Amino acid sequence: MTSVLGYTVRWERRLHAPLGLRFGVPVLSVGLAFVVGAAVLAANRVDPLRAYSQISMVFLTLSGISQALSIGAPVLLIAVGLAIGFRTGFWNIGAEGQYLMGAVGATWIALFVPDIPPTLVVPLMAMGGFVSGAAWASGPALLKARLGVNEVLTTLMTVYIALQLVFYLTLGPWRDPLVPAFAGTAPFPAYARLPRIPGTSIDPSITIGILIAIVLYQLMQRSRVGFEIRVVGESTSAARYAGIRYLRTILLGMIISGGLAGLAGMVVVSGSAGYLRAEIAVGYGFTGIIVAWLAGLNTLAVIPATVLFSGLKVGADVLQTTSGVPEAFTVLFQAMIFIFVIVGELFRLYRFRIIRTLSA
Amino acid sequence: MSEVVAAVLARAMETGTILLLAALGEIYAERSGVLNLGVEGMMLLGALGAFGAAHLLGNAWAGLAIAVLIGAVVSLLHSFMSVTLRLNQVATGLSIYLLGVGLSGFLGKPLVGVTVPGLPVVAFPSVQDALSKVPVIGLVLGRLLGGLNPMVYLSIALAVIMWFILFRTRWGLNIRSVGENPSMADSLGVSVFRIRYICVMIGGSLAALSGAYLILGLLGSWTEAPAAAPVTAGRGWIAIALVILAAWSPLRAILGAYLLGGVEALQYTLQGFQLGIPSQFFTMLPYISAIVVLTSFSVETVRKRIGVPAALGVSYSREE
Repeated sequence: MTSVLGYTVRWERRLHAPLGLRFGVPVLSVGLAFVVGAAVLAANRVDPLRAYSQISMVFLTLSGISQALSIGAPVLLIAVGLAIGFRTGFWNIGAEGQYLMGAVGATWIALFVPDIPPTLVVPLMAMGGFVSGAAWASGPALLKARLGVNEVLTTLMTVYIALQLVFYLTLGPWRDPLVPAFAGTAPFPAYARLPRIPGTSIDPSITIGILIAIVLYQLMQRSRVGFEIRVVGESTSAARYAGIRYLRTILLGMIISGGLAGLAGMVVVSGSAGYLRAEIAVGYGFTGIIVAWLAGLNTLAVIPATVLFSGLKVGADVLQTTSGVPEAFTVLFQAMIFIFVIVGELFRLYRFRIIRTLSA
Repeated sequence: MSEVVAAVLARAMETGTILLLAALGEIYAERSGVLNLGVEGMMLLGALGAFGAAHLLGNAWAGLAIAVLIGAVVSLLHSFMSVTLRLNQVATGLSIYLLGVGLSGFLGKPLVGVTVPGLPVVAFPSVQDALSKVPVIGLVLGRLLGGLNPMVYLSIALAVIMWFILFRTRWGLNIRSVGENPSMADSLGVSVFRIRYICVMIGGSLAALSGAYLILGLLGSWTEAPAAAPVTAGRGWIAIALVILAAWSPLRAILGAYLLGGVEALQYTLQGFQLGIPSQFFTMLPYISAIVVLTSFSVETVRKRIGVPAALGVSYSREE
């Protein structure tokens, strides 16, 4: 390392990150993003304190909470899946596409498969969503595992392909014949919609997401499969040496992350939306990446991270209507959190010492 | 018929130039051992800066200059994270991408609906006249050599110069050695850090220039796009695939760029023929061809022959 004025920084690898840092880094990252975000808002002549108090109001009103929950369900499902996928070292950044394909699979069952008993429609839609998302992810996964094709690029390309496919379906064969001016399917029949929790406007999908997060956490900690996934993520060669079936493990990670993204798509078309339109692609797939990362790829920690992010999203939407802050503020805010988190990661991995070098 | 051919080729070159500029920069970054996955984000920021500057200053060339500057500054952030802090380069690239999407969407809002002076098309009527006398291919040649966006010609010149520097000069040798074997280069007195910083900066500047050319030369207006599909429409990612297709050579990147640009150009022509195939399938073509390129160049035998920089994506520190 280069020395400055006779001092250099020495990097010492930590064997175990102290608990304080494991919590401190994500919390500090979010805090720093709020500070920088305040500066950005102020530069755009928006009073940051007023803006932030409006965002925090989301968590204090019933309508705010129910809106946040309806955003939270898909984000949670995507982030939980990605946390597992990233653990296998598979950089799936195409969750947005798998989400769209999940929505397509669920829509197909809701509108175009005849003679399904009404009570079975929603469960079959959920399966259809999961399978479509997983299938869409399996292409890049197979290419990576078999041929070593860079999955970052292929998964991203498949987002654009999925988006065009949805455009094609909603403008073409699946277009609502009653409203031909609109690119979208007909509204789903009542039996294809997720039921509401009585007395509220939300559906139970968030609880299913939380349940999946807990189950997967247990699986990662306690089971052999979880162990294999963790080893593959640490080092491919170590995994091969330990006799772990690399291909099987990476495909499993991919099925979980693609499938849950697909399930998120089903939750949106069957829950809050009630139809398929390209507009459902609002970037949950990208938000999910940051949520998973902020949570340190721990599926339990994904839950509070999702609460934070969906609250921010609803808050930013409020800001857009009240103060004209562009919608993209959410993306910017998320990008800042991501940068702070990956830099903060260093402090978890290394101890830094400033030492005096004799040569200077 | 030759009018159609001329139009397709002209369009292939003009859209290919977007990819070429970004890929040229990425070639330098990757040759020095740094994988920059933030190309798309840098393109977006370059496009935003160029559009804003061209609007405020009333001059498209000033817009391009501002874009180059922005690209260099954003690159400093990327090299600080990836070279100095030695963070995972997939994560750093992704963070630049998201920053580009967020910042361009946020700051670009007031630019929606604004008009700017575009880049003038260079036309040499005398050249076109002279070439049109050549039998059969005269019209095509005239169109391609005498009437395209100036950035097309500039990018070709740039590719040649960048190829020469990379393979025929001491600097180029240093860049390649840093990307192949940084500790050896270091022991021979080449500054790994300095070279990587410079190459990432070249990469970022050209990515931003590519975004600037896209918005000022081809699109002409700023639109509010969803986060899932920003105005650059994934071209930054396709440019990274192009680097592999070009086997990290600036000269081969020219051909590869026009090939992939041709795929995009062809979709408009094919749509015009009314083949009964929905347009969405044509729009998918560039992404599908990028996947095909990535796949075919990942096969072991091909990969060995094209020579991936050995230290690509690997951080360097003297201590370890």
